[in-house]
Amino acid sequence: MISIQGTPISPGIAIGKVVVKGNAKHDIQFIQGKNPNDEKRRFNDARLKAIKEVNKIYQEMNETKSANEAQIFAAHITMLEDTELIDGVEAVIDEHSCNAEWALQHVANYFIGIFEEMQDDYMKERALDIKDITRRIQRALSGEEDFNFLDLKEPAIILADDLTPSDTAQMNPSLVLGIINEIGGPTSHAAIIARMLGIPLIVSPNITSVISYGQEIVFDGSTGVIYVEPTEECIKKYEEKQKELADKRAALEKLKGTKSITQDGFKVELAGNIGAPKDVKMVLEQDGEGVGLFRTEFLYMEREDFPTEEEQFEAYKEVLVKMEGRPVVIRTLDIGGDKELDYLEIPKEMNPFLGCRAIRFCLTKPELWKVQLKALLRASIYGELRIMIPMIADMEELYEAKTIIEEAKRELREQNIAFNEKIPVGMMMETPAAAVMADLFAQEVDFFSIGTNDLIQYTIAVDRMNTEVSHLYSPYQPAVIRLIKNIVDSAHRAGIWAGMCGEAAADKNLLPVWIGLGIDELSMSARSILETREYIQKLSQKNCIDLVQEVLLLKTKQLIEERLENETLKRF
Amino acid sequence: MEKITLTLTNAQGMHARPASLLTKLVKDFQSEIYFYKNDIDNKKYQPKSILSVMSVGAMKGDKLTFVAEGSDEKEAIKAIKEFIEGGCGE
Repeated sequence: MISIQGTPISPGIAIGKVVVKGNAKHDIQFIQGKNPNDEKRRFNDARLKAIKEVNKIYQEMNETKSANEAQIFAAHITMLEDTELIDGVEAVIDEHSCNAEWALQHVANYFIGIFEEMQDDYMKERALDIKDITRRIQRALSGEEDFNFLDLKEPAIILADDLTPSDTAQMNPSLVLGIINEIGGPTSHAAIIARMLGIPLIVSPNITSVISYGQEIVFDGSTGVIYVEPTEECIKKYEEKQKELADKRAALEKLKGTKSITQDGFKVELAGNIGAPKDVKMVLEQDGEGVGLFRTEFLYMEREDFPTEEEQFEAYKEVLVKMEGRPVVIRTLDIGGDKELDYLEIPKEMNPFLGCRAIRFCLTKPELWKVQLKALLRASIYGELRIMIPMIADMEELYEAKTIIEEAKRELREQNIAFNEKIPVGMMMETPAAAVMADLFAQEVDFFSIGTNDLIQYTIAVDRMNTEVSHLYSPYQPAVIRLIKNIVDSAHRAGIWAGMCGEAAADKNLLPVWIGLGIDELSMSARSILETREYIQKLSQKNCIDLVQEVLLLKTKQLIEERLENETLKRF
Repeated sequence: MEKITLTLTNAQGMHARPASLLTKLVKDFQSEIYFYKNDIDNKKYQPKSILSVMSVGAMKGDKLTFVAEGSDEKEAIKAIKEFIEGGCGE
């Protein structure tokens, strides 16, 4: 038995056999003296096999995902049928009497070189498509089988360099015991999906060169430890741990259908964060009382052009219909900062997080934003839709945004298209400016939702990705807690509700603070809903109010964190 | 021989989608077709090959000259003209 320490990303215990998602790294040798006709036949057989594989993926994507997402595979097929590629490889084979592998790599590298040198970022990325189809043909030439999640028949632990959206789209979660990736972090696509589905995930560089197909391993997604070829004792220990977690989960299951209410009768709405209509299922399974944040930018990603009004309308409608009258907060496009779109050139900015992102970007392109607004308005008749505007820092921005919303409404009225005239419009509270001005903003909107991740970053002026300063990034910062208090108090004085949709919403140490402040709604990853409900049911708001008074006088984040940790230990 | 010079008008230039549409469009013509960019006629590209079309790196405003020779050269050039002037199907 050997042990490896990885980075824990998604908690849970995985015990089982390993399946490696091959990203075969071939050293292509130049071998001369081959029969050109044989090599050409080998190349074309491999190429046709690759086309068959891609075609299968294309068909499946077309059925399960949007036609636009499937489009990239259609382009792969066209490349695999490309005359320049075929003629080029055959010419090299004829000229050198060499192996098909080398000829293919030679021609592919020529095209990869051309694309990589292009100025345009989009075209540069097309080099990846050529690499992708080349790898596919090389794999077929080597006789290895393509790993496809759809072919997974028995439960297994997946090892891969990283998982792409098309991997996770094809994945059957009940057969995936755990995932170990070589690259990625807590916010990578694979991490978000794994946490949402409750699949343990660890990141460990070079893991595929240490562990091989079919080996038995044990790993703990909350500590990051991996045991290869574990002893019986080790397996037993982790099976027990797994059972404990399952028991805890089962106890939480019993909370389904109960209320999120403190012992002295203070009620909080516990909602889920989602990124796509399909995530609603998870929120409902975990007994979520609403959707507190629908991040619409995912509708805009992994495609080649902006989604149409109709496409967006269908997505919003689907969420509302599935939520059956429960409240759904939909955040309008939050692009820029660290989120880019392939098809949209955003000029490079010195400080993207202080630049043209979210509502600022949308206000520069009102016609584009209006497409989304109209889709939202049209969908509003199918449920309790609330529109949320991100990143407001300036009252004039809010005025401008509201004017555009009114324009969208007017245009729909003129076309006699039905929508909810009284649709609530709220704002995300994520800039210190908005937090300080909360009393005045509260007169202008129907609700606040506190986005803690950005609020911390902007208040403390700290980049959480910069390890030199990331220790400053903490939800326990007294300045952040004071701003949040001002936001909630201002909302209540103006008679509107205040919610929270950042990571801190599910922090069990901070929960008594949010309850003490009187927060109306907490929105989090669906997996955290029942656990949070369990804690809320054990709290009394009266005690929480006293605790808040105490915490507001503490001078450092460390003192606050210690105080709240003690409280958690005392209580649970 | 038929020849036409057209200006690329779609915002994204000759990206994967328009490139693959162009490739599909010309595939069934019998004529020999090639094209070049901005009057540089010593560098010829094959519209029947998506790799070749994309490797042109043609952006909005670039001039593309198409040359077709064969039994259906007129039809081929007409189809290409409609495609490029129509914004490459975007």
